[in-house]
Amino acid sequence: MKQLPRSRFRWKQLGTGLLFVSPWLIGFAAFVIYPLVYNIYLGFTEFSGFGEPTWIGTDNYERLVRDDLFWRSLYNTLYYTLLAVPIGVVAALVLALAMNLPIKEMPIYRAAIVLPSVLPAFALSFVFIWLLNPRYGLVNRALIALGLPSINWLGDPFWAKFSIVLLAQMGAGQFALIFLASLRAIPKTLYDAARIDGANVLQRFVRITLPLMTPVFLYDVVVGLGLALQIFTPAYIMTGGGPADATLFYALYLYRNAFSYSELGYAAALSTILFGLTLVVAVGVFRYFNQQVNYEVGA
Amino acid sequence: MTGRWWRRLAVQVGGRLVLLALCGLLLVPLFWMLSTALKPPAEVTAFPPTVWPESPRWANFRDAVQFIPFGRYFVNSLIVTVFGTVGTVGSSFIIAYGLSRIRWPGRELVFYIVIASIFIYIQFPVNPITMIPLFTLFASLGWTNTFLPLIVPTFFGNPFYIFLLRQFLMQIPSSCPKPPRSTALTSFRCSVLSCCRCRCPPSRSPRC
Repeated sequence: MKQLPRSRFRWKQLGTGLLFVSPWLIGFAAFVIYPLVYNIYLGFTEFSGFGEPTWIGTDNYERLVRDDLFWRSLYNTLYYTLLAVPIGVVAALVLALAMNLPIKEMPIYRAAIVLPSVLPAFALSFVFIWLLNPRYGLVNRALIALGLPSINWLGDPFWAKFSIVLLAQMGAGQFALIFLASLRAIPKTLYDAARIDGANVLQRFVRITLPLMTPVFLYDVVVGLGLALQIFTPAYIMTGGGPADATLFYALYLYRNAFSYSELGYAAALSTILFGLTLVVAVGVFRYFNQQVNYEVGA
Repeated sequence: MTGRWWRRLAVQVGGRLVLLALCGLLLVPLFWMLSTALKPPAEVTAFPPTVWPESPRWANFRDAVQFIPFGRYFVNSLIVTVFGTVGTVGSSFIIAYGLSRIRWPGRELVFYIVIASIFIYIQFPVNPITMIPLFTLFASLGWTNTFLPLIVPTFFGNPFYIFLLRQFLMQIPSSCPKPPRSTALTSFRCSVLSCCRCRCPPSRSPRC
């Protein structure tokens, strides 16, 4: 190949690079940037889905502030997020540590742990309706057998939220796989050195394993926050927002406004707020934790 | 020496018990799904519930298939799944390749935007944040009541998989022998092949 002049070479490289990335750039513009911008505009209009949106200024936002169900759904979603994200990280960590044990038939256990996470939330929701049925469900039968009081899972405001947290843990296997990869990337020599210095199992775990896994914790927390703030399917199928609006999550309320009440303008205002909230939370978590994340060794 | 022996025993026996317990917890919903699917109607609402049906009713499956247009629904899911998988894997690979194996100015910037966009791509393409504008977009294209809204967006890459594939592509040593007269396209083909085989392609292989 003839040597190109340096500047022409760079332009050619830029062209090739952009060519390979162009599908994402086009998709990002069409399916992310355009919807976000159009959404902000729709938030200032009244729109039923047919005809043209009519500009009504900040009416939607004024209505939103006075809307009890908006505050209720926001509270429910934040409550759920604060419950689901920490439990999710711990569950994935426990699964990853268990999957890292030197046991011969490990592939079988790994398959069993990851299997539920490939099932759609929608299918699991139907199974959970049966599983958690207060009278006919397996979970309450087990509780009674253990001499514990049975729980009205989907009929009690707290337990209904907790049921959805439990359902979300069925997907922990997927995060556990990422955790496992990061566990494996920690150099053995670090543990050997610590052992020679007399560190016990717990010290090695707290001083080596946990600090070196912080990048994947950060990843899990950011993705987990996104998932939790947009939680929709289990509430839509299992509880329909009940009991007494205890599982009326933000996305469910948004969906109802958009597609049950045909208030697309109001729903767009709701999703603009959700976008702002998610962005602030994600950036906040990222900036706060990024200072504590250790990128030096491992994944 | 005995200390080591005890530790091995703890890992081999205790570890298995922990793993069995965790797998049990995660597989309970699947077990209950199967158990309930085999119960005759009366036993579904029996109290106390039976863990496994006394006389499994396999006819439930026949009924389920006949009660709804099962074949049609299954084919619908299959169409969306096949095209969605081909679209996601194919496009994400090409994009990840551009973000790892080619050096170009601005590459890192684009990579950071890809990473930052992950949370918008949760439940892509149908998520509560972009749902309404996308609905109007697809409606204006006449795509409502077709598979297109579920398929077409997958051909534009997904940050989750772009990220994972990029990390993988970065691990292939850049010192892999380049085929003679390599262009972007031939080395792209090489990367696809080395991805499939997880190693460097044979040097000067005519196919690569």
